[in-house]
Amino acid sequence: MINNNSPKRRVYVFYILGILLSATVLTVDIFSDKSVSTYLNNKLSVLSPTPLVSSNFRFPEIEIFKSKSKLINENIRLKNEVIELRKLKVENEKLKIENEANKFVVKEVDSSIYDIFESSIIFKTLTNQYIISGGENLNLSEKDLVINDNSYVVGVISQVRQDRSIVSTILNPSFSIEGIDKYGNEYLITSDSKNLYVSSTNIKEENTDIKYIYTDITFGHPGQFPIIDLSSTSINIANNKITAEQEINFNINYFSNIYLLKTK
Amino acid sequence: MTYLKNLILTFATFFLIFTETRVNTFLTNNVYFEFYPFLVYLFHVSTNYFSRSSVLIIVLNGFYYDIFYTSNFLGETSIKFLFICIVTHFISTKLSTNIFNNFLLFFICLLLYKYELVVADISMSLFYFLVICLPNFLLFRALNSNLRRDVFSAKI
Repeated sequence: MINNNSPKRRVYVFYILGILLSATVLTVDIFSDKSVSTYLNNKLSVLSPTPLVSSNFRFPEIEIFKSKSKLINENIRLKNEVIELRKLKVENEKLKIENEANKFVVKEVDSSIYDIFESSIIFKTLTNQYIISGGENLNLSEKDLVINDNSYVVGVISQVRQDRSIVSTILNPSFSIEGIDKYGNEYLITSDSKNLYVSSTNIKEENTDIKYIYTDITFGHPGQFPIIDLSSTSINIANNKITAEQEINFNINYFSNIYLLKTK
Repeated sequence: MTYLKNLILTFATFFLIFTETRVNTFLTNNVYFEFYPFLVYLFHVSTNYFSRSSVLIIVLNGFYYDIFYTSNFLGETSIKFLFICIVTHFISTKLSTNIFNNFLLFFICLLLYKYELVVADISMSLFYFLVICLPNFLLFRALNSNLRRDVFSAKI
């Protein structure tokens, strides 16, 4: 006979109580429009230190006893200078590369209309989303765009925290974004992490000569930025619907150059 | 003393989550290898240490994960973690203990842990997660045999 008061059964009850407690907090958070989680995020940020992407590594200072002869001192001073010069060289090369990348983006994006912020990947979450640097401190908001070096859209901000944001990239299997082509046809672009699937939602003109599909201000995005280039992809028109499929040639890692866009 | 132990355990598991997200971000380019120390902890709790003292730790870890690493509402991940523990423990009591059953259970646990991705694309998920599951299961086995109190009875 099963004993209703067996210790194991009681543990199940505690777990169910835990679920009820979490469900209560969840309900409060839903009805307060995430103010509880946002508040805790701001207050407890010490529990999730944001690691610096650029290393601040410094070579240890070389100290030597003052009693050593002048020659040795001079030698050390020169060595230190060489080290400093090497550091400067490395830093200079890094800045050059960064500058080149930034120049490219600035050329592609009209910087008189948009603010461009360089960002970096901090964490990858369990759901294949990415946490990037920059949040409320940069005035970012949901649906702001994340672009790559070529100013193609590679992600959309799904949530903004104080100094970081959560981004859903095109590598996320649940990624979807609305876009528009030059004829005014509207599309829904989805991803399965390997391919992007384009499917029209509102057609004004049936035409396969669609080069780019852009984001648009009507979908809540900052402006028109290319999401996908269909010039070398076969486009199908059937049953008053335009569809296409394209492989994703984008990869993201710690060292990827990504940029955040914000209308001025 | 119990409170202190639970507090230390809570912060240690926070660190596990932090490490997990950090390491997996480094491993982004490596599709078939991911490291889940917190899942190993959950599995250990479910199969070997299913007690009421773990409930609050798991709830707090879920909150920690929701606050810093997801766009979920606060509490969603806690429910997921507790659900995983209940299901895993329930199945483990019904199954006989052998390595195959243990692996199968760990695999189910992993699928529940990453259910968002499984639901999004079920066709690619099963094989992908099977490959990911293996090193993490080996990690669990290695830790489990080392964490036994009677080390002389540990099977190699």
